[in-house]
Amino acid sequence: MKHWFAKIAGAAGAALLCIAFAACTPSAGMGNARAELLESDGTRLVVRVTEGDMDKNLYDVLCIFEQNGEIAFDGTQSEYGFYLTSLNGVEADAENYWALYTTLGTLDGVSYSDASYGTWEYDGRTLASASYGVSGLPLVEGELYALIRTSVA
Amino acid sequence: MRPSQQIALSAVMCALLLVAQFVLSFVPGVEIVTALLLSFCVVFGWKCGMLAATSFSLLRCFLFGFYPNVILLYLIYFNLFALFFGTAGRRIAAWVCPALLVPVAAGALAVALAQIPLSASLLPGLRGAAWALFAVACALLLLWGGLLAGKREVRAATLAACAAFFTVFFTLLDDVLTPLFYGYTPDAALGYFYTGLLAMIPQTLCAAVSVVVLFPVFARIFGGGRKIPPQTLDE
Repeated sequence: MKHWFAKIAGAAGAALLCIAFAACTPSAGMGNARAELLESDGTRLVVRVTEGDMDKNLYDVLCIFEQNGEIAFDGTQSEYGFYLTSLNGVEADAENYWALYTTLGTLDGVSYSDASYGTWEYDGRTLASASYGVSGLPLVEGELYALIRTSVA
Repeated sequence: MRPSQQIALSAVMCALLLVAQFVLSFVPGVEIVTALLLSFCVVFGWKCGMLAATSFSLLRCFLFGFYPNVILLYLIYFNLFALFFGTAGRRIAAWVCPALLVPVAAGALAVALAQIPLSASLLPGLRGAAWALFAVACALLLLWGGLLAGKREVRAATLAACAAFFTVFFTLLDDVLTPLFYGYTPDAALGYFYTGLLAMIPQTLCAAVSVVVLFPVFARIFGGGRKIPPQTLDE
């Protein structure tokens, strides 16, 4: 009886550990970063970072904007971070998705975007297709980040 | 076992695997498919295992979508998995555990300490997961050593080490198949490999922990279904 109890307790403990480990979410707030919402509607969202913080990312900014009632978004968490599927009530579907672009190029030897996979122009600046999702883009001062509703075709 | 029994058992196992994967797909990094299929293969052998693995690999597409590279990955990986654990699972040598855990621990330590060209936002999480995997690999080694010194059964620890090694192999296989299938440039393929570590480390950690904890439970349940006495499974 004790033997079975120990096994079940061990299994439950391991499961709780895994779930707790998997359920970790980014810390609240933007830290030392400051960001400005330039545009937000059913086809695009553009953010400019006015003060950077490498410990925070675009997902943290979106959470703050959502808390303030400026935007609405939805998606799922995965091992790669947050996968955004809906923005301002517009869902991604078989024909359209939300593509992420940024002016953040290569920083400290890491490439955060790649123009060969697509570009988008805004206010005289060229944003390249992001190499990561919203959770993988750190907040760098002066950079632009944009979510654009894009056709799959 | 009669063919009709093998088919029926494999069908039930396939359904169980589909439910297990679907239910836990909402929890990143957590899965029990490895522990379930491993236990099934050890108890019922490679034929039932490969039947279940092939049907699972194909039927899961109805839940998760039809992606040719993923179908190919699953068919290759899970059939090799079933073949290995269905043939060697019951008579795996004790020395296999440290032989596999040492490279897993070394790899985890390397990932935790190396300067990996990955997003600054994702690197802390990856390093944390790598340290956790290193800790679990060391704990498994200690458990194995303790059980061996006490002349106790070490098969669960050894199978957990094999499961961890196979999980690493799964991601490495994907790192070859997906870039080949989509025609990635070498730089993009390397980026895909580094990003893949974000999934590999938690999945390996989960596989090792789930097998060492759940294998004795599942083996007893499946063994009961096959009318195998518990002491025979432990031999």
